[in-house]
Amino acid sequence: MTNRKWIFIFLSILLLSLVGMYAVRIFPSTQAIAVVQVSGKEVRRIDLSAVTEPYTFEVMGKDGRNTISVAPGSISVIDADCPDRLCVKHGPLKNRFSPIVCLPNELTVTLEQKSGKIDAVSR
Amino acid sequence: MRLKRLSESAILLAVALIIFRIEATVPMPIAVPGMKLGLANVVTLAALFLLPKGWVYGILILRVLIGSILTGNPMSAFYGFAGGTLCYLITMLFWKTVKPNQIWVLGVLGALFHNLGQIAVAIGLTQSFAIIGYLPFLLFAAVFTGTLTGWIVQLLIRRLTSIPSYRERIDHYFPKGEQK
Repeated sequence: MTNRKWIFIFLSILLLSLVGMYAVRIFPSTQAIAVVQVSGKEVRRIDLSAVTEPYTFEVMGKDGRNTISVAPGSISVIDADCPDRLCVKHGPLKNRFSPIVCLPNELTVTLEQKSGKIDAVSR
Repeated sequence: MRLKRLSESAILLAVALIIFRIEATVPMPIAVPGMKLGLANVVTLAALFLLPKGWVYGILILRVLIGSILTGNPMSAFYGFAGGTLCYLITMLFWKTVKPNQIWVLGVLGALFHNLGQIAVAIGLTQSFAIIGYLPFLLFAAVFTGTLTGWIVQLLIRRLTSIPSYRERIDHYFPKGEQK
């Protein structure tokens, strides 16, 4: 095998893993717990698989308020009084790798795996 | 001869442990569990050219075991055993077919298979298949970190061959004329 062939193989793996990363973004992880934090402090913890009725609630952030909407298996920020409203544009929280973040209000919404053992993965 | 091997293995193990321990304190820019540079694999790879295979595997297993205690994360030993063994096997498989200027390939292959083993164990231990979502991230990183570690070994071996006593031992693996 020549160096060129190896480089070709490894570049294909890079490409495949990029496709995989994209796939991870699309497929939601349903067995998850959403954690709402303001300035690093946990304010709410919602088991998304246990939600049956959709509902909304408001969170007072550092600089303003965010309205969070919860539905079975999904959570999103639907309104915010911050200027950029990036958290609203983010849409529903789909996976652990792209948390909803509202920097002005110091609010984050992240997903946690139900069996919280993931923190034990080798370092 | 046996005593020389033993002391050389011990030194290589010590070097591997130091690298492993220091690496554990370096934060990675992306927060994916299990993501690391894998610099300790430099020692395993380099040892392949200097010591018999069994000794190399011994260094690897002891590094994982002692390393997991040193980093205060005994669970990581499971991931290390699976990852390390797969990494070792794939390296052995391709070791003979690789030319002196392709040692970097071994680094990448090792890193890729290390991550495969790690993910397999993680899925088994947590009983959560969703962890497979980490695989693309780990493989993506492995291509780069593996190239780095493999390339370091390639440079190291090239430098070592300029020392006569090492040259004899390494030439044994590379037929004459293929050096450089």
